Amino acid sequence: MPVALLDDFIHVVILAFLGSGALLAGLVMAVFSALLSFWAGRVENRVMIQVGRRAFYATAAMIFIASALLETALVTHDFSLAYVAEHTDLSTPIALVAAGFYGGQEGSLLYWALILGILGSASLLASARLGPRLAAYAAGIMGAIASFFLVVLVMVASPFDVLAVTPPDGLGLNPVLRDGGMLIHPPVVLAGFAAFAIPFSFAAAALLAGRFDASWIAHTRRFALVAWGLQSAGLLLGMWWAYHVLGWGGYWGWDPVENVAFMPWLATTAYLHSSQVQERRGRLRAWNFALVILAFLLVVFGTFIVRSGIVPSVHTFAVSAIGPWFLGFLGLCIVFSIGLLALRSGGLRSGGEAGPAVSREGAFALQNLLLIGVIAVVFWGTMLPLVSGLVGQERVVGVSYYERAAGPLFVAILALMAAGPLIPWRHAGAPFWRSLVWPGATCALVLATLLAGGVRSLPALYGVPLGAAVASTVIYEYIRAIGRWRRAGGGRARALALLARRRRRYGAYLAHLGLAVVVVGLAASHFWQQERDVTMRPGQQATVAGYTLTYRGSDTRELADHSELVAAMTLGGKTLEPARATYAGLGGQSLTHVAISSSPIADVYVVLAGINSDGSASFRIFVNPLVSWIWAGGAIIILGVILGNAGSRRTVAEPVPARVASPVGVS
Amino acid sequence: MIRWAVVTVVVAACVGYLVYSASGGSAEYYLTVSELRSHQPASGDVRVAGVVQNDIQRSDGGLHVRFTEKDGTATVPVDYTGTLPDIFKPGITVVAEGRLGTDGIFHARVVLAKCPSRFSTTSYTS
Amino acid sequence: MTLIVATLFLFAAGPFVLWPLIKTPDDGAGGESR
Repeated sequence: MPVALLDDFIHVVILAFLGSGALLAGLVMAVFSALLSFWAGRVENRVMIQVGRRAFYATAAMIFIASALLETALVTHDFSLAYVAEHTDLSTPIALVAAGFYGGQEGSLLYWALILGILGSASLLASARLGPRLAAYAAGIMGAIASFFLVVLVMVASPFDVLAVTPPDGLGLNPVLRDGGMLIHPPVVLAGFAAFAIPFSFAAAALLAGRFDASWIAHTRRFALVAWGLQSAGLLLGMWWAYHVLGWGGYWGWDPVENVAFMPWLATTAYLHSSQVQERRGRLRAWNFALVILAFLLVVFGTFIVRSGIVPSVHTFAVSAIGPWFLGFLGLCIVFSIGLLALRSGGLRSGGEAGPAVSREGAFALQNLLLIGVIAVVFWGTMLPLVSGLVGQERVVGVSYYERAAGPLFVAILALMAAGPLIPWRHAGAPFWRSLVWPGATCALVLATLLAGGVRSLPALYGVPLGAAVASTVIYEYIRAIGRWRRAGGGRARALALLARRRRRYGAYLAHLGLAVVVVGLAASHFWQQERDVTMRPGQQATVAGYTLTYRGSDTRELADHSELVAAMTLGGKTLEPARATYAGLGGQSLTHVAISSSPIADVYVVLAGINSDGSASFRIFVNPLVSWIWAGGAIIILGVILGNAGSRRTVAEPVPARVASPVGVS
Repeated sequence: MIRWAVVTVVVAACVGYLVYSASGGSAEYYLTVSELRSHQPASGDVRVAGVVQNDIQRSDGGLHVRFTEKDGTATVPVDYTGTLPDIFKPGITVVAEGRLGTDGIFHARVVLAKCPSRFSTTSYTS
Repeated sequence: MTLIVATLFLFAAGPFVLWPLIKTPDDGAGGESR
């Protein structure tokens, strides 16, 4: 017995105290880094600025150590830690055990801090060339954000809390969460949020330092792209996971948790485009600062909403102690940001004359307005329950609100995406209007085809033709560019080399193409979905939307911790096995295993509702057209981001081509 | 600059109109079981949240179900046809969307259950 | 115990963080280091 107690004690010493010690040291170092960096930047003491920066690196190291310790505790099944006991057990597959690091409240906060530490350190490494004051303030702000997370980790939600008695086994994961989607979706989403702290920090630092040039944009462009890519992937992975696991045939419900992940993405998208205008033409400065700040505030806001439980959602939230902390942090960020913008409002006015509206600058400005409009729509829908509950009877909006309010805005944005890449900078002349023939003709052709095919759903009639128009613009641009280069001499090899040199632009076009594919997939699978409830005896057939399924029979299988009721069906030559798993150990909780047969045309999606006493089985069958286009389009988007930005840091922002003979020289 | 101010105002007005018209049509009331009988509006769906009681009756292979929802002191029988959320069983909280009929039964079009939380406070009491 | 461990970590990180102060300064601000 005494040996076991000693063993317990050593265990506790090695992991829990090391971990909490590392976090506490990290907190001290983060506060030190923030305070020193701000002071040293103010007085421009270069030595102290370097010290402050190194303190941030040390903070990141402490967070990394704490993370490594937590992961070690998880994979060695150290149930003396409350966190390990609450989120894993001995029977959980090792991959899900490891994923427990970011799966719970405390761990996900540590993961957020880890991403901030790593990416923040990377962004500071080469930051000195931005000028000492700007670099110092950026370190200070990132140190302050890290300090907040570390304060919460140390004082309110520590992953290293120890249980009084070490249990022999943990509680384990709820069966619904035991899925591959749990492995990938949360860390990608969280990393996408945390990554955007970097552009925010540099933008705020630039404002603080009175620097209104675009250097902070160029420096943090990579990080903004990484954040955007991760957020895009996170949203799509979440949709994919919901589609495969939850069994209601859909992938997006406009639930508050989904909405608060969507809004930062919208703001980040607007920023990525709008920042180009500042880089090329020095305009939209105020917009860019505002968009970066808005995106980050939405990230903090979303984190607060998800962890505080104040808005009703189908996701259960623990009403936890950290809600008020995040509310306070959100308030602080809002005050800081507004104060900063007000303080520097004088310098924000862009120089130069306001250009003509029909120009690329104008298109980007319009895009900003439209995306902000969508954010406002989603924000209102998300917050209505809270606001209305405060002043009277609580009301919630249904899914149709989002479609009716945001739909027209999405249509306008799609139209802009189809025309945008063709609009020249500065002034759109006749060549531009002529080039609109391509997306216009594609749109008209697809629209006519749909109408001829009997499609009457208005959203689909807007979404699919416009998606096709966006795609046609991208293809047109590619063809035109390659044609131009081949004519200029050098042949195909030189053309490809030039493509690589201009990859920032053509990678972005590829991402546009991916988004067009996603839009078409969304429109088709949402508005043309068909659904049928059927009850069948073995040997019977059912036909849904032209797909014939034959029910063969059912079977019960006993597994380690659950029993599975499996129904066998054949579709053409394929076998589908929708199932229901029952977990006796969890009070008889049952879980649906959806059976999906995917093809580029449509998914056949079968849910087993149950088996009746007379041997017949009841199913809900969906046919979802073009769902796989959503996932494929997502992959194309990511490919576009990677190809467009891989390699040399200094991809040339190519000179603005003069499509119209202009008296002004090329900028 | 004036031109852009005008564009901004126009877009803002459009967004405001869209929000107003869309929420007017589809916003639903979110009621407690106790409020259901007294506060249900004349038309339109409402949402009711409550805890599932022990009297679940299924038929039609599990596609049709009748159960009782309870919150605080009031209960209401719920009738629903369709697939249920996986974690549906007595003791869990559900949100039913539909209307209370003159027969005193809430006819649900949708039944949603709260997803198991990734951030649950199920603390381990040793 | 946590405090002791934290202090040890801080002492370990000290030299790295304070290196720009410790190293023999070149004239002026010297080369910009990371």
